[in-house]
Amino acid sequence: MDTYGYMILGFALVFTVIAIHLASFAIRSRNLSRDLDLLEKLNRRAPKKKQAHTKKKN
Amino acid sequence: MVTNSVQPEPRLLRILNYVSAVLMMSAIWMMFFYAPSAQLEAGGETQRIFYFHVATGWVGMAVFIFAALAGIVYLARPHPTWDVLSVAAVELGLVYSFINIATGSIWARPVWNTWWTWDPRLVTATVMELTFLAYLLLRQSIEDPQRRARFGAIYAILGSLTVPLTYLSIRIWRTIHPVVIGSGDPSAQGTFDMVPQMLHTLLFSLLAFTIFGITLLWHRVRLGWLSERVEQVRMKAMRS
Repeated sequence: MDTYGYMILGFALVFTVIAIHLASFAIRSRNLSRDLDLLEKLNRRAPKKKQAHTKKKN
Repeated sequence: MVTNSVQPEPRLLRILNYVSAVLMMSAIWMMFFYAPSAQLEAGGETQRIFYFHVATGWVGMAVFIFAALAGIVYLARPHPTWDVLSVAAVELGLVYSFINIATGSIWARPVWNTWWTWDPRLVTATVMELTFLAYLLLRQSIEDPQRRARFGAIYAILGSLTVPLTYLSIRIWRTIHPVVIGSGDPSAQGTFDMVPQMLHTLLFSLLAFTIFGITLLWHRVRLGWLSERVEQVRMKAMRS
């Protein structure tokens, strides 16, 4: 019985699952870093806007 | 508070990246060029995936137990780091256990003449996998971070009971699954004889996957810290 096909299938599965897992780390890390940058920018802008709004009121 | 999130990779982690890459490549080399082919009754060439199968099974079970230990520590001293550790361990355990079950199924096809059978080891391993899959799904349904972490800790502790059950299933019940670790045990139903080269490859694969697992766990924990940090900044943005 030729068992090479099953061996190739097994190795292909292992490498694919590990590759997807590693890629998911990179994608999630990139997305989270992007979110963090955006939120920090918003946080920096927010006090300035607040000050401008209070000055206008006065 | 979790604040050490977007920092560059620590030196030890960078070293671990290289070490685990070298170990994994060496393990794969040994699987193909050092370990001989098995007899046809043991799977012939398919038996080479057995090194992945056992190694991923071992790491999968170890990280599930680690998740439970992190849960115990969280309940004793509630700190987000323990929750991050627990989630990271469960995610890694799910990936490794999935590889374990899938490679076992591929090996079984030429040896047992079926992809799947309702054998106690296969069933308990699948129950373990589904139990921890439910952990991740149920966590998503809880909004409050502290409640989510407390729930996660208790669930991980209870879920970890499936680990010894899976490990001992081949000794407790009659099964066709071979006993690899401690096959000399009189309570073991099936034996698994290996030539020295096979044993060396198996032990080396166990080492390689353990180091690789630790490296991945560390990366996943850093990702968890980053996620916590984003959550904190988001809350701050919403307040201002």
